[in-house]
Parts: sequence; C-alpha cells; structure tokens
Amino acid sequence: MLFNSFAFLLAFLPLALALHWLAERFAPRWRLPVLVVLSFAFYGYWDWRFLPLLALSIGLNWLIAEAFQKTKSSGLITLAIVLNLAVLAVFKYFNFFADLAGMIPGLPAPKFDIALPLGISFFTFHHIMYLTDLRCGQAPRYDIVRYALYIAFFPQVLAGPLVRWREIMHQLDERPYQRPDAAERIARGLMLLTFGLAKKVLIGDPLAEYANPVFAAAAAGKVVSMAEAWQGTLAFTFQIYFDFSGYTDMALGLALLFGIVLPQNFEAPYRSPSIQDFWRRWHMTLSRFLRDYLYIPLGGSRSGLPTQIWALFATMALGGLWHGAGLTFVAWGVAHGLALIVALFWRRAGLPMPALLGWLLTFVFVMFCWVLFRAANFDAALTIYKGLIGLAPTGTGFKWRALIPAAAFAIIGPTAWNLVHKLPPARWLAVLAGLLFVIILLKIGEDANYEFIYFQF
Amino acid sequence: MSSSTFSSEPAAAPAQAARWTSFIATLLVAAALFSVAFLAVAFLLDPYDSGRSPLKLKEGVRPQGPRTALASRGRDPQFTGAIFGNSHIQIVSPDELRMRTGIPFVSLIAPATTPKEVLATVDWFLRHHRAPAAKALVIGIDNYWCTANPALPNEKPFPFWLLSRGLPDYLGGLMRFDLLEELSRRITYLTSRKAERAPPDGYWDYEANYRALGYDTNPEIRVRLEKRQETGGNNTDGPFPAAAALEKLMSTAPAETALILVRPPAYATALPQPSSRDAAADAACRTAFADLAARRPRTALVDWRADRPELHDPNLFFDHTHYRQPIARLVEAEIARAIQALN
Repeated sequence: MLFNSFAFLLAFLPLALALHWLAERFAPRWRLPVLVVLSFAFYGYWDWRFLPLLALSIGLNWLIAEAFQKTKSSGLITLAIVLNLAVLAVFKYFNFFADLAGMIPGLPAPKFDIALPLGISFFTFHHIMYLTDLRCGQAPRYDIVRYALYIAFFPQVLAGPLVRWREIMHQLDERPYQRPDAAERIARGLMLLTFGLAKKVLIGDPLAEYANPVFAAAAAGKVVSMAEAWQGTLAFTFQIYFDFSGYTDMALGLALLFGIVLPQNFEAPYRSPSIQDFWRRWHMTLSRFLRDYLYIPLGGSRSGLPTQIWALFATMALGGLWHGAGLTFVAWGVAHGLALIVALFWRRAGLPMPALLGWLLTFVFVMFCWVLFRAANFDAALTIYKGLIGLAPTGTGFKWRALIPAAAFAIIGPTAWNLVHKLPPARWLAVLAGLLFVIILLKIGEDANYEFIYFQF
Repeated sequence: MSSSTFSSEPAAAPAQAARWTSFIATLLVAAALFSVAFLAVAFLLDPYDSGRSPLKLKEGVRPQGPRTALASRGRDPQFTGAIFGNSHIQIVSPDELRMRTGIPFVSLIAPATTPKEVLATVDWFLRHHRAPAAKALVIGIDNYWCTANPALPNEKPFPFWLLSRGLPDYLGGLMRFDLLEELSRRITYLTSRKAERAPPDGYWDYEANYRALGYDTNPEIRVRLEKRQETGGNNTDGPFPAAAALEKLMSTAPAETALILVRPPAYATALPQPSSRDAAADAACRTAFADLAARRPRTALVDWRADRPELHDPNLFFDHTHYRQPIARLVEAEIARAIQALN
C-alpha cells in the first residue's frame, strides 16, 4: 500500500488510527498487538505471499535471541546474521552473482527469478542491529510482540528509516495519548505527513517526467544531447531527494500519529559543503548503520591510515551494493568511497576549502554519481556522461521550470522537519494545511501514481 | 526530536494542548470541507457532460481528446449507431455510415485503446440507449482482441470512472488535479455563447496528422511498409476472453441491436504468412469472433484481414495497420451492406 494512495490515506489510516485510539484508551495492553496486526495488514496488502516470510523472519530471529539469552553462545548470533544475509542474498542478489559467475566461461549460472519482498533490505538490517547489540550486552530481551513491532512497524517497514532498538523500544510502553503534548504531536505528525506527501507528489513525481525519458533514451542506446543529459541528471538528483525524504517525512509523521518518534533521515543534504557532510545529512540512519556496524568493525579511523582507507572503501562499496543488485550501484558506492578517501587526504594535508567551492564540488560530484545510480547499465551511464561533459550535440529545450523550485527547496530549504517544528498552532495554518492535503489528494487522483524509488532496495 | 514533550513551556501545557487540539480539528474539518466543496462543484458542473448533474446544462463539451469526450457523445440521443475501437477503425466515418444506412452514427473511438476500454464504452452507450434502443454497433476487432489474458489489461490511462455504473467510482474519479483546470474551462464553455463545442459525432480524420509527420512522403518511413510484421495476435490455442466478455455484454443489449464486428484492414506485409504460427493465431482469433457472430442474432463479421488487392497498394496505407480514405470508403460500404443484410 502506497502512502500516496486513496486506499491508504482515506481507508487504512483512519481505520488504523481509530483502532489504535480505542486500544490505547480502553485496553492499553492491546495497543501493541493492534499495531502489530495493523503493520502486518499493511505489509500484506501489497503482496500477501510475503507475509509468511516477514513473520518467519521475525519469529526465527526472536527465537535465536531467546536462545542466546539462555546460552550466551555468540555463535547463535553469528548464525542468525548469516541466515539473515543469506535470505537477503537469495532474494536480492542471486541473479547478480549468477551473472557474475556467468562471465566465467564454462561455468553454469542458473537464474532464480523471484520478486523482491518489499522492505527486506531494511528489516534485515533491523535484525542485524538488534542481534549485534544483544551479543555486545547492550540490548535487552524483548517479548515477541515488541520485537515484531520493532521490525514490522508499518511507517518504517518498507523503506526505513533504519531505527535502532534503543530509539524506539522505550516508547512502546508509553500511553502516547495521555501525554500533555499528545495533541501537538498528532498535529505535527499530520503536518509532516502532509508536507512529505507534498514533497513527493507535487515536487518529486513531476521531476520523473524530466528524468525518465532521458535515462530511457540512454538505455535504448540513443544519443543524449547536452541539454537532455543535464536536464535528466538534475531532475533525478532532485527527484530522488524529494521522493525519499518525502517518504521519510511521511513515515515520521505517521509514526507520530501512533505515538512513536522515529529518527530523522535527511538534513538538507544538498547544502553540504563536503562529501563527508553529505553523508551526515543524506539517509542519515543508513550512514549511521554503515558506520557503527561496518566501518568501525572493519577498523574505522583508529587503526591507522591504511586501515581507515580500506574501511571507507569497503563500507561504501558494500553500501552501494545494498542499494541494488548491480555493478552500477557498486560503482556508485565505490565512487563515494573514493571521494571520502580524497576528502580524508585533503583534511589531513590541512588544505583549505572555501565553503562555496566545497559546496559546488560536492553537489556536482553527488549529481554525477546519481547517473550511475539511475542508469540501467554502464553504457547508458556513459551516454549520459558524454552529454554532461559536452561530448554530444548541444540540444535544445532544457526544461528548467520544475527544476528551479525543486533546487530552491532542496538547497535553500526549509526542510519539512524544521518547518513543522517551527509552526505555531494557528488556525489559518491549519486551514492551509487542510487545503494542501486536498490538493495532494487531487494530484494522487491522477492516473500517474508513482511508487517510491526506495521500494526497490 | 526526542520522545520527550515538544512544548518548550510545560506550564502552558493545558492551554497549548487546547490550541493544538483546535488546530487538528481545524485541519481535518478544512480538508473535509475543501474536498466536499470541490466534489460538489465538480459534480454539479459535470465537467465531461456525463449527464449525472441535476442541473440542466448546455449540451456537449469543449473540444478535447476523445477519451473524456466519450461520455457526452455516448449518451447523445441523436445517435442510434456507434463505432467503437481504436485508431484501427478511427477513419471509418460515422457520416458515411449514416448516408449508407440511414442510421445516425457517432464515433466513440479512442486511439491506443484495448478491449477493456471498448467494452466500458459499449456498456456506456447501451445504458444510454435503452429507449429508443441502439440500432447498430460497429466494433473494430484488431489483434488486441485476440489476447488470452483474462484481465484484458489496458496500456494507456483511460477514465473508466467516467463511464462507471457506480456513483462512488465517479465521485472518486472527480478527485483529480487536472479537473481544477478543466472546471474553469467548463464554466467558460457553459457560460459563453461563442464557446466552441467538440464535434458531436466524434469523427477524427487522422490523415492530416500522418501527413504532417511525413508518413506519405518520407522514404525512410515509406520503406518500413515493406518489412514483414506479425499482427495475428500470438494466441493460437485460446481462450479468447475478450470475445467472451463482448458476448456477455451484448447479452444485455436489445435483440434488435445489430452488431458488426470489423477485422480492420492491414497492409499486405502485416497479413499472416500461410501456414505460419501467426496465421494459426489469426485464424483462431477470427474463429472466436465468427462463432460469436454465428451465435448472436443480428450479428455479422466483416473481415478485412483477408488478402485483397487494395491491401497491396502502399499508397493506401500510412503504416501496416493505418489505412487511408479510399480503403475506409470500401470498409464503410461493406459495413453498410452487412447492416442492411441483417434487416
């Protein structure tokens, strides 16, 4: 079920809120089970065939965590992590590795064509975060209902944010509607949901019309002019930001309606004056996961420069692979890894970097990397690059009208999060938010209803 | 954000809570009122002249694409015959058919449509032509009708909500952004005496469009005609759910309504090669609709996918499946003869 659909906004959400309110108000013991059932219903609406996978994933990981509590055998946790990654690998990477194997002459490379269960990349990481912390003695035991909610909570299950257990679990036992700031939370949640929808539906989706034909032409082997390449690349640069940060705003807003505060995921990333800063502002919860569960275990910054370089490179390459089962995604990750390494050397050499130049270099680099991320293959990416650097006809008809407001919002701001938390409870603002919500509904009513880009990861 | 209280002044919590509660109520009420107001205006102004508004409005719609104009044309009582399909039967003229049969025809074609859209349009036309009953339906049966997929998937957006039998569907369909613009145009159309009306008979001669694109002169385009193309529908064994759906729909039509199934002309290089899989698929599909024609009274099949001399003349085609006016005249004549033969 898409957040940007009538089914969700006008049916599931009101019903879910009503059931949750009834439980919270009259049977607080049932609040969490109700949320679990709602989350499973939400997940199953998309494709009920994957419900058993989600349930099995939760059940098995919880049972292993229970067994670990009794035995303290760290091998159990290792087994669980390996199993989680194996399931992810089968669903997401089987054909990728089969294709790689197929490059070796004479090696049989069977294909396994199966749909990718939605959210598997995200809930796999949730399991790993909890189990790793459990082994380190940082995470406590949770019952099956709480653990199921941690993994399957519907605002976050499909595309994050990647929430640490310690950020959410203590909130589960609250009485959210008994809090003195309950109304404020709900109001800000509604505004976040509305602004997130606006970002996706009114800004992000229209940019797809500028980006998709250009990347489709490149994939079809057609020549892409300079104007088209810049238009398509800039459009996708902003589209993915508004799509994904819009989704996150919706997720955070929805969670607030159910009494849960989720962590932020974006902080105006296109304002970053350095590539390091970009990764502190873009998909922040993934960056944090990669840092704490990959970069630091690989040696991090405290084991000497060679180790740090290796850790940076490996972390970003694997981060790229996590985004998609394709070498273009790996290349995207590698490019970011190399950029972080260059930035590391730059800092260690004490070289200056004017803020404006730093911003420009960072933005252009990130934008160029999005080509690898979006292109169907390296040939298509190369076609776009040729256009970007002028090794193609100049072309005409650069469509800038939708790009200007998108760029202004993305770079100058404000972010939805900051805006929502500054707004006072003024009646005229409520009316405007109501009007904006209706405009969004009208936009959703059109035939072109776009899925979220990050659903494919 | 921490999970602690949002408010910076806990002492003011009760007053703040009341203000925020009022904010939530205002937001929800505003959203509900704006939605209802928009729907009410849209319903009353009936942007596509679907006849659902209780107001007595000016007939017809402003000039627009055929998909949305179908509702108005399909319920126009001055027409008792209709042509359905996509661009493969678009050039068949309702006026020519009227002159040959005496039945006033309307063209309810929409380019790039498949059986699903056509069936919805036929249903709309029949529902609005109960008394007097529709005299004749002409349906273009191209290779889309040969699909084995029971879902009959459509490829391009189509306003099914506009032709829906259910009011909730229609109201849901009115919730669309482009109606913001359309409603202002609708008001102009309804209030201006000079406002242009879309042609009621729906005829759209595509020849000028093809000529503008060089389909009659550009050698690169012309040479494509000589490349073989398979248009048999790729379904040799059935089933043919589109035929079954059409038969079921026509069982709701008055017995006196004539039904003419037209297999539209295709250029010689798009006709199946004898003994090929394409020919087998084409024959199987033809049989499905010939059987329908045999089972239903007052039904005939007009087959222009047979090898005729006209289909070998490249000057009578723009591409493999889009023919020109001279062939359209021949098709019209054959349709007229088929209708007359049923009387």
